[in-house]
Amino acid sequence: MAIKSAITMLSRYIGNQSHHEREARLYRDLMRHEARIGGTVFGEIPEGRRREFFCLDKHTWVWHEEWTDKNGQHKVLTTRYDIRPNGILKSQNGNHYQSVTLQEAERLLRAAQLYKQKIDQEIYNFA
Amino acid sequence: MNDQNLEVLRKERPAPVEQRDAESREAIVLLESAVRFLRHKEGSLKPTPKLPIDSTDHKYSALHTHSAVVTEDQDAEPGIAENNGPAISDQATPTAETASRASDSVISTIEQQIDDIFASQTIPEKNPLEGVL
Repeated sequence: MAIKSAITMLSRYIGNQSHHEREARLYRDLMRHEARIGGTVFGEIPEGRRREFFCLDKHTWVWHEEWTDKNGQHKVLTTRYDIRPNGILKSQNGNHYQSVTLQEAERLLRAAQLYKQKIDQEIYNFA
Repeated sequence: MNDQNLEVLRKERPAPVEQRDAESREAIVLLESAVRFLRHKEGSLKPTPKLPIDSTDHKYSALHTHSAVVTEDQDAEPGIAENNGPAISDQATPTAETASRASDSVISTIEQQIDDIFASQTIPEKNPLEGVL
């Protein structure tokens, strides 16, 4: 009886764990898909360049670029925007934070609005 | 993620779909609020245009009041700004309506001044220019 109960509990635990894992995987897949769509809001992506733009969480937006320069060097630039009630802070490649100008903030807002519009159309199909 | 998977997600709407949708929607609201704050801040830092009148004159207090609102908002708590975003933005950037209210006030002050001048003067019984012409 005790063994049967333990097996039931274990199978429930495994079932729950795999359910959480599935959800976590789906969440990550959705974010990756959104990031690819987000990369297109700035116009055509030049060949050999990887561009992603996405909402990491409600306070954070990420813009990621990868390309190869004239000397054949692989370059990576990750820009992270932290949204605060009294402004927006930006950090590039994990360096120190700096305040963004109103002009850059306006551009970020426009990009974010286009991103939302596109992901609604292409993933969630709400629009 | 292929089209078939997306179709299933749209129909079933599992928790991660709801979560991502809610997060991105909320993120846009917060970003809009931050941009509104920056617009307001930028607007309030612009120099106030000089008026063709003596601004120290107490009679033009209506205009002073308008400027004071803008200056005070500069030090407003971020939370307050967030909650009253649109209202503060409207104050920071004088609209045609607020500008019109200000000029109405100036006009009525001037009208009052003219009334006061006439009220203080004794009207001559006879036109002083009569007989000269």
